[in-house]
Amino acid sequence: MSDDSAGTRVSVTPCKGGPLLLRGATEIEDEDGQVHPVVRPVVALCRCYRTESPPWCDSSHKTPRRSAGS
Amino acid sequence: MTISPPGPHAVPTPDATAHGLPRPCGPISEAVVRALTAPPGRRRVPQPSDVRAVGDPLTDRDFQLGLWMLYEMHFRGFDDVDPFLEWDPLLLAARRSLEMVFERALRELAEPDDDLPTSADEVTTALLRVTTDATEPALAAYLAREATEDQFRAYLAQRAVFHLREADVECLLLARLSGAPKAALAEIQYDELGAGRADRLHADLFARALESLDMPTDITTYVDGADATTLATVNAGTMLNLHRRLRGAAAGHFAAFEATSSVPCKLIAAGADRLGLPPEVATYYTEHVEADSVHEQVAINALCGELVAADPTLGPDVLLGASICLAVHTVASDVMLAAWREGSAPEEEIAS
Repeated sequence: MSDDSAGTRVSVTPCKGGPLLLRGATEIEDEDGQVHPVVRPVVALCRCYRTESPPWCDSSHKTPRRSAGS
Repeated sequence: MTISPPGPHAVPTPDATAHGLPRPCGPISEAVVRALTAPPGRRRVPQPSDVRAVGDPLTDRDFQLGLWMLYEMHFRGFDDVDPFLEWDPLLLAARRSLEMVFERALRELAEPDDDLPTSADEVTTALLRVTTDATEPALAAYLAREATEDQFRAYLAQRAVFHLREADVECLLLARLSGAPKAALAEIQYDELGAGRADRLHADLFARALESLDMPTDITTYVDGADATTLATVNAGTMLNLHRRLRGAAAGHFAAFEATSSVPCKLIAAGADRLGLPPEVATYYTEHVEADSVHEQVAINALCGELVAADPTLGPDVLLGASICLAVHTVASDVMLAAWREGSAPEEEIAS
C-alpha cells in the first residue's frame, strides 16, 4: 500500500497466486495499444494469461488447467 | 396503528404489497406473524418448546422463515407492522433461542480444520485453499449447459432472497471494524453499493434482471417460494454479521462468498445467453466476474488477513465463517440440483 494523501497516486498490489490490484489508475493500455478505461475503484489485472476478459482478472487462475485446444 | 390480527390459519393475499409479511408455514413462523400483527399486550412469541421440537434447523422451513422475519425487522420491516417491535424484548428473546439452535447447527455443519491458524498468513493461505477447492460449481455448470428456462428462473427466484438485499448485512460488520480491515471492507462495499451511482447498486442490478424477465421485485414473493436451505444461507450471513462477537466469522463468511463467486457467475451468464434471456440477466452476472475477482483478493488478504494480524485470536473464527458459508451454500445448491435431476416439479414458476 502507498501513501495516497493527495488521492492521485497509482498503487500496485500483487496478490499471491493471483492478479495485480491496481488503485488510482484511469486506464490500461495493452500490448496492442488498445486502451481499457478503469471504471471501478480497484481493478485486478490478470497475470496468468488465462482470463477471458483481458486485461482484467476473471479468477480463471483458480480453475483447473485444461488440455490445449479445449 | 391498529391492525386486525390474522387467525392462526390466515393466508395473506398473494398480491401482498412490496414488503408484506410472508405466509407462515408452521408453529414458529405463525407465532412470529401473530406477534408482529397482534395488538399491544396480547402477543405470544415463539416458545422454547416450539424451538426444541425442531430437528434440523437448516432444513426446517418454518424455523428459517421465522428467523428471517425476525431479522427483517432490523432491515426494512414490513408494511403495517409497528416499527417499535424491532427492539421488542419478547421478540429479541425468541430470536435468541432460534439463533442458539441455528449457530450450533452451523458449527456442526461447518467442521473447520482441526489445525487452528495462529497467524494472518496461515489464515489467508487456508482461505485461498478452501475457496479454491470449492471452485467446483456443479449448480453453475448445470445452469450454463443444461438448465431449462423454468429452472433458470427458479434459480433466480431462490437467489433473489439474497441478491435483493446484497451487501446490506456487511454494513453491520463495517461498524465493528477498525483500521486496515475496515478500509478493506469499505472499499469492497463502495463497489457493491454502486460506487456513488444509484443505478449501479448491485441489489438493484439484480432487480432489473428480474424485471427484464417480467418477474416481481418484491422480496416477499421470493421468501414465500424459498426453500428452507435458501433461507438458511441468508440467515447464516445475517446472524454472523449482526453479532459483534462473531465478527471474525462474518469476515470469513464474506471472503468465502466473494472468493467463490467469479467462476460460477461466468457460467451462469453463459447459461443466460444460451437460453436467450434478456441482456440484463447476463449483465448482472458478468458484472460480478470482474468485480468479485477484485473483491476476493481484498477480502482474503486485506479484510481477513489484517483482521487476524491485529487480533490473532480471531483466526479460527475467520475460518469457521468461511466454512459455514461454503457448507450452507453447498447444501442449498444440492437441494436445487437434486430436485432438477430427479425430474421432480421445478420450483413454482413465479413469473408468467
